[in-house]
Amino acid sequence: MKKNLLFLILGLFWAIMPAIAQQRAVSGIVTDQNTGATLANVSVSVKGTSIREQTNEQGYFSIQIEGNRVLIFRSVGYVDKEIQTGTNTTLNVQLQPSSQDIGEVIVTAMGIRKEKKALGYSAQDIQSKELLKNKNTNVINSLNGKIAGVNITNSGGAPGASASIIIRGGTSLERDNQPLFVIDGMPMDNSTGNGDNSAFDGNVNLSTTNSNRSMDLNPEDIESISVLKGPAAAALYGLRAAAGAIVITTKKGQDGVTSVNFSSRYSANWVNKLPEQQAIFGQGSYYSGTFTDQTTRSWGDPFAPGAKIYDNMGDFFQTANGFDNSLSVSGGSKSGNFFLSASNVAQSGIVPTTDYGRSTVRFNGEQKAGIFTFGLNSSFSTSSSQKTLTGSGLWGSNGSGYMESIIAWPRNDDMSVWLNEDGTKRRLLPNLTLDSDTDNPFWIIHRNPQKDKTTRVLGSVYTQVKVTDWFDITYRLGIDNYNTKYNTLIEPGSSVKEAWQQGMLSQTDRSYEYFNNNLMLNFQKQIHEDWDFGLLLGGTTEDTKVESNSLRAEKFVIPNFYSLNNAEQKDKYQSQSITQKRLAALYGDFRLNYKNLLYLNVTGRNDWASTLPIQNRSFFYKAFSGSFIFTEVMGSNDVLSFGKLRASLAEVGKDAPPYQTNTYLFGPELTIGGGFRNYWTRGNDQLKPETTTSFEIGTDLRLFKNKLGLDFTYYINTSKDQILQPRVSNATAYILSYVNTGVIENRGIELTLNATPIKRDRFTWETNLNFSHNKGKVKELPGALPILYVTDVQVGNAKAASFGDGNFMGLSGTKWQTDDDGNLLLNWTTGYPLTSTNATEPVGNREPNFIGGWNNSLTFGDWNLSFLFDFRKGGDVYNGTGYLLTAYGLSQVTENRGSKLTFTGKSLNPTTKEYESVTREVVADEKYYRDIYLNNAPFFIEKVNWVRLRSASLMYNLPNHALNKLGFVKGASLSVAGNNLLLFTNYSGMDPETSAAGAGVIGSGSVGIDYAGVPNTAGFTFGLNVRF
Amino acid sequence: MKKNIKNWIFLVLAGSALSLQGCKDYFDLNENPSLIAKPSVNSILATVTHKTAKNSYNVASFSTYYSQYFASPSSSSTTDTYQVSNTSGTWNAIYFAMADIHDMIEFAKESDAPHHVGVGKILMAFHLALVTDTWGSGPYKEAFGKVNTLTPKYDSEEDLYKTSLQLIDEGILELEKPTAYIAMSSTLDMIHKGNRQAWLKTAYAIKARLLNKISKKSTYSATAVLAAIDKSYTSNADDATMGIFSGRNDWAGVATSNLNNVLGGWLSSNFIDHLNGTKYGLFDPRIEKITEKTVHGVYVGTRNGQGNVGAANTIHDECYISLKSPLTKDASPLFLITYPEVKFIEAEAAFRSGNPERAYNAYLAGIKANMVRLEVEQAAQDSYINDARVSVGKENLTLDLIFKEKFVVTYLSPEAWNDARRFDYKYKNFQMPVGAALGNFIRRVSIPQDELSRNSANVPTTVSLDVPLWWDKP
Repeated sequence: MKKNLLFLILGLFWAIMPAIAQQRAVSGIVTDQNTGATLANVSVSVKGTSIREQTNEQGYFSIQIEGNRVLIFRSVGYVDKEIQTGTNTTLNVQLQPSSQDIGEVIVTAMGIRKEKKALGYSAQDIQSKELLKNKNTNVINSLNGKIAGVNITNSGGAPGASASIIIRGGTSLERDNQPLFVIDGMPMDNSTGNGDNSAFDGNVNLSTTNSNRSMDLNPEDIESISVLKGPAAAALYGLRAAAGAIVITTKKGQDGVTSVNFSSRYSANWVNKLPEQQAIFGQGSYYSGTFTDQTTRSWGDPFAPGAKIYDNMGDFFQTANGFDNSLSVSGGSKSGNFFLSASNVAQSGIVPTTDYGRSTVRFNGEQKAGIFTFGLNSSFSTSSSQKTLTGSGLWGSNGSGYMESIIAWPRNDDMSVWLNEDGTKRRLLPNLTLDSDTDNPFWIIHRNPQKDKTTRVLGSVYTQVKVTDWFDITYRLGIDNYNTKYNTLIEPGSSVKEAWQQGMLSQTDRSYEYFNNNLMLNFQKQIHEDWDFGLLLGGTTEDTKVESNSLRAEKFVIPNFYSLNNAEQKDKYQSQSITQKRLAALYGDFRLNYKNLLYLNVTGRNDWASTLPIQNRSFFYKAFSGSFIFTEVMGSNDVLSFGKLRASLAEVGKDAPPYQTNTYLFGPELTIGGGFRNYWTRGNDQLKPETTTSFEIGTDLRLFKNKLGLDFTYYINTSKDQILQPRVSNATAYILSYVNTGVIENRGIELTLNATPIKRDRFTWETNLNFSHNKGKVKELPGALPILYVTDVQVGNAKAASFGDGNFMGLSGTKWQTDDDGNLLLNWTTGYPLTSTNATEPVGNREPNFIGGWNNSLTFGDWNLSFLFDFRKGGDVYNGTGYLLTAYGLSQVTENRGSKLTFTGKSLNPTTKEYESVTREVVADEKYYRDIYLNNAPFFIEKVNWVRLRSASLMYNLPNHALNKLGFVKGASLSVAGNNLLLFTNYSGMDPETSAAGAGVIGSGSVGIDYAGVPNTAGFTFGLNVRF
Repeated sequence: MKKNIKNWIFLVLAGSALSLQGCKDYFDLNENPSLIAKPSVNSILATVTHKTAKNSYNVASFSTYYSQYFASPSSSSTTDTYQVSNTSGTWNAIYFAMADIHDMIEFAKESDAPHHVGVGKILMAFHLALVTDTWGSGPYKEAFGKVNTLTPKYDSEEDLYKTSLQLIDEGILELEKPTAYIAMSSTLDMIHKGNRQAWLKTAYAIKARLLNKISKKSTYSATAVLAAIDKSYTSNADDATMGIFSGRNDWAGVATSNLNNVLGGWLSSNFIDHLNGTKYGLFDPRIEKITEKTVHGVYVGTRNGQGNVGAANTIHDECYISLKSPLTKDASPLFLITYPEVKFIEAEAAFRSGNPERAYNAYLAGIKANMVRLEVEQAAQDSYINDARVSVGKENLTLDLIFKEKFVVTYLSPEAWNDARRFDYKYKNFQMPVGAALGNFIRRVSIPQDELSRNSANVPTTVSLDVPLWWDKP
């Protein structure tokens, strides 16, 4: 246990204590008229005022009023109820379930709250309570399995690891496909990592784990998350909406109630699944024909009976601990409210030495003054982590990642002894030169650490003017500034390339500065008894500047002093990159509602982007959506209580990276004698943005008096004018060239079923099943290019790739040669299959056939049991870890070494020069596995299914009578939760939910690539939550 | 109050309108502050001189297996066994270098730097020869963005050959201009230190090499070859070499890797037997300056296609490229074209033109200069050269002898494989590799994988690798 429980003390309380004259509190419990169950989140408001309260988890409310007023009780699924208070101070209220529980409101684009029934597109939200059930340090992970059409992949089990989120498939072949993140009305950055520094210090996305920056948020601060899945939903974000949007709303204080909330969690996590290793053969190699032990490979002789065989892999990992504390204070009056919070997370990793820590402070406040409302949403966070090298370590370093080293370690050697008695490095093969040897994984984690530290200020101030009851203006100014320091250390004596053998330290400072202005004019008026109309007009500007400065020192003068100063001048290097871009837009959103029966919504947005050439700088996007509540016409009945049809057509875009309209030279570069050379990429002064057009239809049905809800969506998204930098013939003078071409089509369906099968006095069972299917196809690639690779993900014998007229999330690799009829071609002399160097063969598709989740909540009195299963059918995972195991002779597949194999196929008879059908018997020896077997990528591609118990939690809420005894405590709960406790899968490697290079990879990403990363974890969390 | 609000709204709207007026400046962010679009021509001169030498090495790194100086330690080597191998790395490096050369020529034309133009054209010709001698055809007329396409068309083998000759002539004209507004930098020219006269000699040496390459053609003109020779090298000091590395000489890199068990640079038995007396009964002292004896105190090569024989490869029981050789030390330069090679071109052309005296003198001078370069002791030089099997007399000189001796001189040069093909591999006891995928000697390399996947529409139809190139047939 590394760190003690940290108790947080808020140094500063922002107490708003307005003078309250002649006010009194009315309080009570709200229950369901039929079942008697207490109702949480019921809105309680004083008629004719803006005073509003909500019931807590126990159905309790308390509201400040003056005199005799009318209270309005509103809750989703219940008929509104108005009650005259009289002089009462206690009111217990029963609400009657409504037959149409569609009064739900959801936060949509630009923070506009809309009734769900009015939406002409599919959008889903998650409330705080649901998020916190399986609270994860990375808020994205708490969405996993809960929303149809959203595919979330946690990149691994490292603390602070990124998670990728893809909504309805990728829309860009070579741009980021992560959705836009919006917090309290302002876009925020959610980029991942330091993966573009390969030429400087070897940092690529594969070389370590990085965080995605939405991790800087404290999940406890979040009130709700809306997932705007399609272009229609996100259309107001125009150029930034192609991948959908995640709209986060943080908490506000409630008027009248000052409450303090404290929660504390402890978690323990361990590796949930490791690949198997063979335990028959020891170190050595017969590759050259004669035996040598000067290798780490395990192609040697069988272990002697009784010989010690170490479980180097199993023994390596540790149990990870985490502490997570947060405290918030909130409150308000009718003229203002505030929310103040602080949190701290400290986690260790399953890989020793790794950790992640985060501290956050948030202040949200709002003050009304006449027709003005002034507000601030702000957060400050720091996070830091120590990480290990993954994959093959630093690019071009000749070193290795920790897992690669574990796989390379022969099991006759005790890997845990990594230092000699005198403290020097214990080497496995001291006779080899350093760069030919392999570092012990313990050496790597202790001596080659990767560190990062981020400080971030994120916030916005806003002014709202309520000009009349039908017109208001909101102006918002937001900033998102952060600085991340990345540190890479290679201690002297590491098995890396010669230049770094006397040590290397590099530091990259990346600063991100973002400013956002947003002005919105909002009109809402009932112009006739039957007609309601709304109009939003707005303008926004964005300014984004990213500056990256890297410093590197090599060959330490004093060996154990790790400072950038500790090197001769000639061994110091620096590199700088500055990019700035701006975006301006005008937008409008027109809404029409006829008798709550027909809804129509038209959106338009014009963007001006600095990253595009002048003639292509301005773009207009439009979207139409509508919904028709047909039960309003045909009437509802006992079977069908509510029915809606919806449809939308929308257009959104995605702009180019900065500075791609020009072509540059690169240099001075030392490796070419200090000269300048052609940059890898050719610019294009004709670039235009990518355009995604979406067509979506769906229905929302409520059956059997709302006991069962069904939501179905079908969509086609077509993304054209892809901004690509395909790898082109080098005869063009460039490796990559920017073009606007290529079309991707995503078609899919989403289905959500909601049901409350049991709703009794003391027992409620709510269940939600979601299911989605998406098929991403590349319809067109530029020119004669048959394939596009993802530069970051080329591992083992396969690559993440998209194929022209084929799969977007494809895999390409090398295959054994076959003739046109599919017959295997065999070498006439040896009888082994003929390998090929052609790495462009399609060998897999990483996109699952379908994914889904089954979420349940069972409440027995004061107890709540929730569990979430998620499942996946189909989709390939590339087992690059298995590839490494095979290469090093530790794969169980290689246990049959020395036995005979029979191949049947065709072989070229050198005398007749004709192909003949042959059947040949060969030996499955080391040479076969290393030279022949490894060259057939399909051996390492597995079609993966899984069912996993992603989370299960049991919570006990202290009952009211107990709370009453405590007096000052308004609520308290204890919980125990498990994550990933069960995993049923046909995958042979570690957890198939993996993404070797994290979420920072463009295009089809690294999802479904398993390559020597940090395995996923399973664990328990114990939590305590107290409200005062 | 209401009026105030209206004014306020007006102000905001007017403000937004004004800020949109300023859009042109607001969006003027198209210049990347971290990269330069047009660096000085001398800074590109550094790049292109460096890369040209590297690319000569890159091609030689596999073609020396075809000419059997080297043999792979593995029997399944695709190169040794004449299988289709992926040479994308070399192709890409060559085209990337030509793109830089193209840029330098264009920038130099704009800024009155004729000598840079001249050097650029000569280096372009050198690269085009590497392309056509290795793969046959390749893009040029549509390459480097001259035509706005992602899939440039291929120039035919003959066109590439003609273009390279033409570029040499154009380059010579530029270099002959006495003055230039921008002079070649003596430090950034890594081949001839900014010496225009040295470049002219190199231009003629490369021209002679090119003219001599079409010896099978009826258009071959020995006179033209000899005319170019007359203006080219006169001593080893004239050689076009490049000796600036961020690490070490690339061949020394091969040798170092081999010592560290990343195997490579194993000398072929063909080459060892050529030198150690096996084939010709005469010990060539240059072998001592090329490689080292095995642990058994002898010179033993590895048969192409056979791979390692005998003990495990960590036991040094065969000969490898040596870190002690003057050609392959850490600090040795890379050679583009040398005086001894020029002497052998002269010998061949003179012999073909019926001038045995000039041929014989050039032949002896070539051997001698090569021995000097290899730092062979004087006594050993003399005893070899004076041996009757070498100093045969002008009347007994044969093409076979010229090719036999030139073979030693072109060790590590990509030109060696061109000679082997021109000579139809008729070196004494030159054998087919073990397990060859072809029935005949290899004549070309297949267009690399990257081109097949990125420019497939233009890649010529695949032919067997034993089909001769344009210049390799009458």
